[in-house]
Order: sequence, then structure tokens, then C-alpha cells
Amino acid sequence: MSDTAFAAVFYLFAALSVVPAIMIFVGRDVVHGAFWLLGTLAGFAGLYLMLGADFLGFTQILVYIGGILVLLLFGVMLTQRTPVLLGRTRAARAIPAGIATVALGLFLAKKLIGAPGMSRLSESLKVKGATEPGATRELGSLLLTDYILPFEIASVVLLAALVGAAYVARRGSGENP
Amino acid sequence: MRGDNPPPVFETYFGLLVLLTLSAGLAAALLAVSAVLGPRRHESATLDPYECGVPSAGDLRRRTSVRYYVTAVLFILFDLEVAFLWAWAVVFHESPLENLAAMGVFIGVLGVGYAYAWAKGAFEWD
Amino acid sequence: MSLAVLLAAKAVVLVLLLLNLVPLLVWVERKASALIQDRVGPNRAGILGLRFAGMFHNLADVGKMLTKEDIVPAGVDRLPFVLAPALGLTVALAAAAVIPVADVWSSGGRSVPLQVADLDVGILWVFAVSSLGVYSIVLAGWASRSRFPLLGALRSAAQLVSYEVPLALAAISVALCFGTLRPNEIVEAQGDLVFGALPQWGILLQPVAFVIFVTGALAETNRLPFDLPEGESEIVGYHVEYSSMKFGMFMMAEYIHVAVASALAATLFLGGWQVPWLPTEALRTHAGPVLAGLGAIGALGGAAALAGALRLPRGVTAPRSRDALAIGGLGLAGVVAGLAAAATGLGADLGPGARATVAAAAQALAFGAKTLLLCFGFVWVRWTLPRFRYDQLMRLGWRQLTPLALANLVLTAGALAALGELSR
Repeated sequence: MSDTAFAAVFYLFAALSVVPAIMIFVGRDVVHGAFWLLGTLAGFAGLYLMLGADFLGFTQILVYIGGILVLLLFGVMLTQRTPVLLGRTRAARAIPAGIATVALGLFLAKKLIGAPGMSRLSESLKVKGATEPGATRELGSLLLTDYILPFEIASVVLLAALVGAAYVARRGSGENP
Repeated sequence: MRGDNPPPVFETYFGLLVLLTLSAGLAAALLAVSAVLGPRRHESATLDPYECGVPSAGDLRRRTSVRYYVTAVLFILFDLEVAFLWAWAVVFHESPLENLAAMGVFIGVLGVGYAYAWAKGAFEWD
Repeated sequence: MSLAVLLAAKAVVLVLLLLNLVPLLVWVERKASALIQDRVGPNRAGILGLRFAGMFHNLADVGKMLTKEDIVPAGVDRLPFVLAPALGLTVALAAAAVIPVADVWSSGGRSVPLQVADLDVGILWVFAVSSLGVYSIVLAGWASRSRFPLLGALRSAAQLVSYEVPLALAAISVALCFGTLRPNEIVEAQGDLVFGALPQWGILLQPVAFVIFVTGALAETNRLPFDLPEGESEIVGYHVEYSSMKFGMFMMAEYIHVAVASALAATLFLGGWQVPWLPTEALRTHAGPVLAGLGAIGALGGAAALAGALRLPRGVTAPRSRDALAIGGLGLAGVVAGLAAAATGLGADLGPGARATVAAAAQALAFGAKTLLLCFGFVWVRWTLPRFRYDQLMRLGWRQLTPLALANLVLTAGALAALGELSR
């Protein structure tokens, strides 16, 4: 597989991540925004795969797209009456928002330009682990040895969320089916 | 594999991209063929939303029940647990007893939440 | 560039296989339902007097759906409305990428995995891509801007996510037994024998997980007893506003889902491409007799077709004389080809490449037989069980299957740990 093909695929996923993000920004329909987010998250999953992070890429699809985005959609459909929620943004808000965006963009660009291996795309993506498929095993081992405490704490976080969901469910059970 | 070319792992995943492209192309072709071949002779009633024959009234996108939202929350919690389990299943045999204990605690804590949710009626649909 | 060509070829073959499975499954569904309900089933459509037991009805369906008016109701969100069926079909096809139909073909230093992508976390890919199917449904329901589709979409989406957890837990139980998520390794491990006699297929090690998996797969594919979107008693399917091929694409996606779910179940639980008691090496060493056996199977099939054709009414004026001729001819050709293959297998000396090919063919045949058997199971269930009510469906998923799958997983892990300690 040539460098050109690699670069082409990279730009495909980069476009898939960025273009829907812009559509969310300029669009006014919240539900459309949620659907556009599907493209952005899928593009990121593709980039993860190109880095050789297969487990991360697939869990990104499984959890973010298959789970959290569904929650987002249900939430939006639950709360809104009309498809258009956002009114026109006032100019007074647009100016500080624009300044913040440009500042963040400059900051990130500076970091990126200084990063090693930026001259060649495939070099910059050839990080440790990207040459060896099958990082899942190492990831699992680390999770169950070095990072066992955060791992178990995650279950407590999930427990808290579960209790919250049960509470919402009980309050909601009396409403329209 | 190929000197300083892209990582070989890329070649493994390239097949997924090829298949996705092919499938999407097929779907697009089916849509196009159907749009070209199909006749166009509808009346205005044809284009009305389906309402069992009654003229529709009111906003067609009403707010939905909170139950669906709760189901999605419950799903995410278990989906995250499952995401950990995938990685755990792969490395389980490296030290079975320790890994059994680690996941036992994890599932146990979630089990408490599951029992609570059950008792609070989160799994009731009536 | 040969890699890209090879990948493209494999992808094209896979897509063609799945596309051809759709009409086959529709035909099996119609004929099996007729059999179960003591009817004859569709048998009218024909080409040049050939009817082939109603098989051409599927062709007629395709033609009809392609040439029907493509209604886009007023007020729908056009782009999402069109994208929804395309997305559904795309993810259904893409999910099959990691399923191996046979062991890696290898000869003379070249090795070709017989699947589109041989991933280290292949099983995860199936689940990840299948989870995108829920968007096809929500998108369709939302874009339709109509009450029933929206309600139906929410219900279907909630159903899909609810059964994803037990389904994944069942698959994890199998992955836990074999310690890998690579489909080929899982299948390979199922070739080992337990008690020195039985191949350790997933169904033998994890019978409970198999039941959970099949139940979850029925729900994920929207098949009866979980087919609320299509249920006559519940007119709230997410595809109510769809017509022509867009509707057809939802149906195609459903049947492809059935095929992929069956293939995955065969891979995880029924030994995938394993021919029982015959590992790849044995198949390659004894390629001659294996080819002879394959030929014999083909000849038997041809003979059965021939016998069936002879029982059809004969004579130029008989209504199905052409069917009898065509089926009989095909049967005869099958007999001849089978016998020729058998003779080649017994007589000729096969090279290493031919040996690998014969082994792969035998394994692909075994895999296909297992997958089709499970597909038939899907059809059988549909015409046997009554439909669930929505609250029953959610209760089964959350209050019975999920805890059962978790308990099964913990017990499996405990048993594996105990076995590990004992053998130390």
C-alpha cells in the first residue's frame, strides 16, 4: 500500500471528522446536528484505526455512536416541541465566541506545527503501537494490573449513574407512555 | 513490511474501507435506479403522512416519552461495562484468579445498581 | 497494487454472496411458511415456462420494487429520508467483513485469509458496525415527519439497544473460553477435541450463551417473535412512509442481518469453517479423498434433483414439463460433475495449491451448511412462535436475558479459573 493511498484515506477521515462538525456549527436543527455528529465520531474512529488503535476505534463506534449519540437523540426528541430550537445568534455573542475560537485554533496550530514528524504524514502517524496490530491484549493487561484502581472506580461511577437513571425512571413512569 | 511506508496494520483495515465503499455504492445505485425507473403520477393525498386515513392534525413530532431516554441511559451504562469486558475476556487467561476477582468486584458494584434500578421499577414497561 | 485488487475481489464476492442470499432466504421463508401452514406456497411466476418452485417470484419482486413510484411524502426531511435505507443496507453488508468462510489459504509462501479483513478484534467490528443500524431506524422515523414512524422508530431503537447487551455478553462468554477476539482463532480453537472425542464447539462449552445469542439475534434483526415494526397488530413501523426500493432496502437489510447473524453464530458456536474431526492439515493431506467426498455430495444432490424432476408430470402438454426438463438436466449435470470430481480426487495427484483449494472448499461448504441451517432456524421460529407485546419484549431483555447472560459469564469465568488452578 503506497503512501499516497494512506494519505488519501487519512484526508478522507479528516474530512469526515471536520465537515460534519462545521455542519453542526452552522445548522439550526438540533436533531440534524445530532445526526451530523455521527459523521464526526465515525471519522475519529477511522483515524484511531489508522493509528493502529483498533480496540479504541471500535469502542468509539460502539459506545459513542451506538450509545451516547442514541441517548442524545432521545434526549433531544424528548425535550423539544419544534425541530428548530436555536434562534439567530446575536452579534454580541458572536464576537467573543469568534475570538475564543480563533485563539484556540492558533494554540492548537502552534502545538501541531512544533510536533515531531509533521513533514511527512505517515511518519507522524507511525507512533508506537501502530506497527503492531493487537494492542487489545496490552490494553487489557494494563487495565487489570497498573490501572486496576481507576478501573474499579469506574464501576462506582457507573453505579451512581445507574441510581440516577432509576430515579428518573420512577418519576417518569406516571407520564404519557 | 514495506520499509518506511505506512504501518502494515493499515493494510489490515483497508479491507473494511473497501467493503464499506462498495456497500455504500451499491445502496446508492439501488436508490438511483429506483428513482429513475419509478413513475411519477401521485395526487396530493399520496403525499400526506400516514394517519390511518384520518387527516392529520397537530404537530407530527410530539415530545416522546422519558422511558426511551431512561432505556438509552441504562444501555450506555451496560454498554460501557461490556466494553471493559471485551478487553478483560482477551487477557483473562494470563492470571485467571486475579482477573476473576477484579471483574467480580466490578460486576458486583454494578449488580447493586442493577438491583436498585429493578426495585425502583426502571425495567417496568406498562 | 495486487493487495488492493485482492481486497476488492474479496469484497465483491462477499457482497454478491450476501445479495444472493437475500432472494434465497425470501424463497425459503415463503416455502417453509407454506410447508408449516400446509399450503403450496407461491409457484406462479415463471420465465419461458420455467417456474423452479416459485423461485422466480423474488426476481418479480425486485423488478416490481424498482419500477414502483418512489414516493417522498410532503414535509419529510429529504436528505435523512433518503440516507436512512442506504445506511441500513451499508452497515448490514459491512458487518460481514470479518467472518472467515474457510481457513487461511496458503501455498508456496503465499497466504490469503478467506475473509475481507482479518482483524485482531474482529468480533468487536461486527458489534460496532451493527450498532450503527439503529441510526438507520431513528433517521427513518424522524425524517418521515409522521406520527407512527416516529413512535415505531423509538420503539425499535429501544429494542435494539436493549438486546445488544445480552448479545454482546453471550459473545464475550465464548471469547472468554478461547481468550481471543480474532474470528479465525476462535474457529481454530473449536477444532480441538474435548474428552478426546467431541470437537469443542462454542455450543458445547456455552449452551446458555448460545440460547441467549440466538434470542438476542432474533431481536436485533427485528424477526418474529420480536418483529413489532412489521407486526400486523402494531401498525407503527419506522418504515411506514417508505415505498418502492427504499422500502425494499429495509427488507434487504433485514435478510442480510439474518444471514450475518447466522454466520456469526456459526463462527462463535458451531465451529465456523471447521469440518468436524478434520482439521485443516488433515483436509490438505487427504485432499484426494476429500475432493472425492465433495464430488459424491454433489452427485447425490444432482441425483435427488433428478429424482424430483422424474416425479413431476411429464409429456409436452403437461403444465410443468419444462420445469421437469430443466431440473432434471441440472440434476444430471450435477451427477456428472460430481462423479468427475470424485474420479479426479481418487485418481489424480494434486499439487499443494490444489490441496489448499480443496481444503478451503470443504471448509467453506461446512460453514455454508451451518449458516444456512441457522438461517432456516430463523425462518422456522418466525412461523412457530406468536409475537411479543412491547412491554413483554423489554422485560425479557432487561429482567431476564441481561442478568442471565451476566451470571453465565461470571460462572464461566469462575469455572475457567478453577480449571486453571486444578491443572497447575
